[in-house]
Amino acid sequence: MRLNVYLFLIAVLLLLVPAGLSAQTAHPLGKTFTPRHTEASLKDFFRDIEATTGVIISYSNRSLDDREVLRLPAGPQTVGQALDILLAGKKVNVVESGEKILLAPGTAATTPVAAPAISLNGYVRDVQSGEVLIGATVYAPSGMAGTVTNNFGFYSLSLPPGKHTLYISYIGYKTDTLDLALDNSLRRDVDLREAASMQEVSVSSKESQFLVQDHMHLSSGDLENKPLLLGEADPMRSLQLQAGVQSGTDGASSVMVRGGDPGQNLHLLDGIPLYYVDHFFGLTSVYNLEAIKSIDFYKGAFPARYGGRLSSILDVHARDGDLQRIGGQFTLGLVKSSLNLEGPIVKNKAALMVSARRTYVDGLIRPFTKEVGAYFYDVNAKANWIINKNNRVYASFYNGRDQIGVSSDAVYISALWGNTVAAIKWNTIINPRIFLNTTATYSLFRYRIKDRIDLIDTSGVKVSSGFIGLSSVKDAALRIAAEWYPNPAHKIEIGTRYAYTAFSPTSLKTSDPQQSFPLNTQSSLFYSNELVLYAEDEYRYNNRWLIRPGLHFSNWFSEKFQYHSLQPRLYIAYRPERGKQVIYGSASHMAQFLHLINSNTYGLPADFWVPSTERIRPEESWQMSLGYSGTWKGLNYNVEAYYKDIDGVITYRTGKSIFDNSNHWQDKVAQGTGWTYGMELTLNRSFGKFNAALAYTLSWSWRQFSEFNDGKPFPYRYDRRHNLKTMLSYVLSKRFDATANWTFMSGEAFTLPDQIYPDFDQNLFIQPNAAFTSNNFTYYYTDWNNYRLPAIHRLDIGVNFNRYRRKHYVRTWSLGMFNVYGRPNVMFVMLDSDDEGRLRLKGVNLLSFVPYISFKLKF
Amino acid sequence: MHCLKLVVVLPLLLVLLPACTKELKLPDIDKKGKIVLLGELISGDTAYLRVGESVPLVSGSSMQFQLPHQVSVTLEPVLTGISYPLKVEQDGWSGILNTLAVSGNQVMSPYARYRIHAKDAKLGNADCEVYMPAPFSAAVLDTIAVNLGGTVALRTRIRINDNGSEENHYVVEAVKQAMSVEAFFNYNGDLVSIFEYRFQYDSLRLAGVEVPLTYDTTYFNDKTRMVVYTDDPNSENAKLGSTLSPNKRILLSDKSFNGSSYITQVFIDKSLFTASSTGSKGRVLLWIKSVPAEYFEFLRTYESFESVTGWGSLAQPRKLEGNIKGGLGMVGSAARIEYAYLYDRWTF
Repeated sequence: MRLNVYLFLIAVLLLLVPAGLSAQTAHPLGKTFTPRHTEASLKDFFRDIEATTGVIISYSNRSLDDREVLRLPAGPQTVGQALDILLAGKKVNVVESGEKILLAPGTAATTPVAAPAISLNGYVRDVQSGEVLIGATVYAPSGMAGTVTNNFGFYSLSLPPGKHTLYISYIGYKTDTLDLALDNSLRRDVDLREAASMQEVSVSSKESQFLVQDHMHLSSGDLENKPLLLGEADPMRSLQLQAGVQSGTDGASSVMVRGGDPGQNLHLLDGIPLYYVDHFFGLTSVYNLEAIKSIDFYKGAFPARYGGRLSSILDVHARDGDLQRIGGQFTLGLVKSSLNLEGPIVKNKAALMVSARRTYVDGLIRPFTKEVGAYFYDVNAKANWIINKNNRVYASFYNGRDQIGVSSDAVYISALWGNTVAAIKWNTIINPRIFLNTTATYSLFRYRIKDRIDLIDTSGVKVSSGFIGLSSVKDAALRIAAEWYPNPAHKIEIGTRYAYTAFSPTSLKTSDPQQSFPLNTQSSLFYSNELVLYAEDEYRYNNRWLIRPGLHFSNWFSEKFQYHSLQPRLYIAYRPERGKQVIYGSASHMAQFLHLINSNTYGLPADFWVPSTERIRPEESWQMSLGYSGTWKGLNYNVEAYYKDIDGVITYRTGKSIFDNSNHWQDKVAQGTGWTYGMELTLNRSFGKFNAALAYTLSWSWRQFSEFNDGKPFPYRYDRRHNLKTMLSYVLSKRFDATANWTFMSGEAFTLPDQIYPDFDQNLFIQPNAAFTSNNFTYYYTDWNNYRLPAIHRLDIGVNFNRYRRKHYVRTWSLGMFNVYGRPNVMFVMLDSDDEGRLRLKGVNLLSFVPYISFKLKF
Repeated sequence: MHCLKLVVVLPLLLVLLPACTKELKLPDIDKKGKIVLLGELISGDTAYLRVGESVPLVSGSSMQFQLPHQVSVTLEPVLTGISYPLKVEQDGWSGILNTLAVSGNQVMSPYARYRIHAKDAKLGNADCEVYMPAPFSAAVLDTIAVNLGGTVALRTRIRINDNGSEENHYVVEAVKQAMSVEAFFNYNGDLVSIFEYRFQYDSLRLAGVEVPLTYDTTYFNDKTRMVVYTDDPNSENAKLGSTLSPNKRILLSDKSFNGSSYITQVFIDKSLFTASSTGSKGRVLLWIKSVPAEYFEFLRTYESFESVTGWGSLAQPRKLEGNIKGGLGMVGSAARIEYAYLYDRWTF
């Protein structure tokens, strides 16, 4: 372990040294130069530079052929950048001497030393609400430099002195232009105005110049206006439309990424880990769209700051609250309603956002049955306070609960589960080049089951007995993260995180003191500590290369043992032709010390988080990906291939009670390996008022456990060969828009028994007891996941009618239908026999022709 | 158990949504059934097991099990190598159990190994070998009724004296064996059934005559599984479930004993101890068994085997690996100690 710490520290130093070196600067190279021609001889370009900037360039014709005809991009740029392009591949050394530049013969091509960089930094915000915008692009063509705002809307750019034109853009917003004359560090906050049209804005070529293709950024605009199941807009369902992502069971809101399990996705709500993300049997997730600003979704090239899960990172950012005016949104749906309110506490200084929703299915079915009840609610709240221009504090809170219950005259069973999370964040701009975020988080997932039975004893007295079962995961964490922008070429992130987690897999206590058994029992409480250190350098070279090496070190320890993991991350992008295409690749090592024992994908509280122990090792993965993206005649395309190797993947051994995980839960799980590979294709193009998108995944996903399938590899249950999502949207005007999605997924793999034979117990003349699910036969299995269910496909449509009243009032009626042509997509499989006794395999479908209507009022 | 109950809620709620079923194609391949041997040979008892035929899960298969009338079965003590044919016959249970009875006069001797060989022209051959465990000693120390999470249960404390010289695994289970009790009395010099001579019996009683009764008890083959629970952390059941998990058998691995005397608690659900209808009346049998490792492993898997596993959940299906080569099923063996409890009352 100690060796790894040293390696980590050395690596951090190695990452930081180049940044520091390249921060050394000289003046003539930083002068702004606008070429009069884009194509000319080298000599003419040098003359041009002398004429426009006064910088004299001296060289020998013996070391440099100045007749060579070369190209430079149009528009303002620094002398250094121009020389960078003109002298690429030539064996000359660039030396500054006062106001002159000497081109001396050299043995290798030399990059000109950058001009002294001047820092430009600030926040990018929504002009109306003052809400910061995450992932907004800030680009200075003159300096050939650009960046995107971080998770707090902050940007920092290092530019050479001189005049610059800055382009600031964000999806769904009008691009803003700023003309600046930089001579000293400058703080400039930028306010963007929302675009009038609701049409999706495709990623511009300017943005693709930044070479960062490592993740998907979805704004609230991207998440809205999708056809919905029962009218429930849900970020998770929007993610299911992305390449490499699938839902598992059709209709569920869970996401499975690149052959991973649901437990291999890290869900962060304002940086706080969530342990359970389904509401109401998977109908919707815990993410309330009205409270969400944007989502960053990573599935391959993981930045070093993230860790703890193998397959994906879902970084969800809640709305900060409107700093200008009080407003909100009310939604009335088929199964739930929600209300969002936000506004300033002190105008332009502090704001509060509160959003709440609740289902009313329990009320709707009460006239028909009082024996069954189910509901969920959740509340999001967030406050932010701008202390001064360099300091800002956020407080986030979320509480959600699901409850289902069954009751009869004598029996009452209920289950209640949900997350309670809170966080306090402090952002400070230490200097124009260093941004620091400190976050303290608390997360609690609790599951409680109550069982009560009323008995009438022999004397006619009613006696109640029962028990309460509890399961919980609780963690508190402190994270400090710094972003350092030393010069235009480097962005360095460094940080640490310490988390203390307490697990209580199961505890049982009797609800009746008269009851003699069971005794109050509690499975061993388990405490873990996790210390994370990470560092990453995003290095741009020659404006064609982006290299992002990173290291994530995690140490997981308790009183009994410790595991540690050193996780290298690498992302490289190369742009062969300016502004058109990007080739990129990544390699990521990930580890997770928590395991989700997952028994279904139906959104029931049947999943338990358990820690790594002496017997259960952490899950680890290596993933490599290679991609190509660009724009061709208005068509945005991206193709990416990946391979992922997983070790320590976990699965349930038995069909025994899912709550009975007691002290022996380790005996109920099996660990094995997995590997998955595939190719993803994403296309997007706008045609006038239409926008069409396609996401296709061709993939294979395997699992291998020594104790199943005779130790041979077998396909993962959700190994879907083809996964195709298409979307067509039409925006007639701001008053009407329509969307249609067509989904196709190959059928999931399923273990079909090989033979059926008479039951063992019954042949000992022992008839089954009603307490057990028994048949007079036994299934005999040979090969695992040897059968394929039929492919899933369906068409979902939706339309929105918007009515604008005064400045801020928008009334929206949404209508639509899930699975328009009623495809009976299989959710469950059953085996029975027909009237003649022939065996029949039957697939059960629950979601055909599901219409919706909802009403939304934005004010 | 409780969450499985909760799963019932899901379909109830989803009645709001339209549901339909779709018939799926079974594999259209040529696959035959296999010989199935099922039984538990008890040390000191005569040989008895059952033979059947499996159904391959392919297109066109019928869920109706066929009885392998042409099958022949032999029993061969490994020590002597002499093969004894066993009698294969259809009995009154064949229609219910989908198997034929296989029996012989050979007494299964402790410490002995036996080979069982089944042969059928259509299904092929199936073989197994069983070891008959040595006798052992065990006793029920005491019993008491307790409230077990809302269930009234009989707690039995059992001492098992393990034989340290060999690998022994122990199984505790309880069944209710159906029985009938018939009463007879002397009437005009003949012993007559009270059911047939009810009027005469009642007349004598009304006349103040004391009528001594003689009882005839008949035990039937059919038994009903009784739910058992355990709080023994060393049991395999604790690893599979919890103290509130219902079990078919309590399974104690040899590792728990190490040749020593061991006391464990087994809770028997009392809800079936008494029955109101005559047909459901019987006695409660508590069996303490010593079994070999192979059979113990089968029972451990069988305990967690549920036919629904793998169909509607991500839990992996259980492969019930028996000891039949070339066929399917399990022929287990056990040395058995039996305790009988009578809670039902017969009134005449």
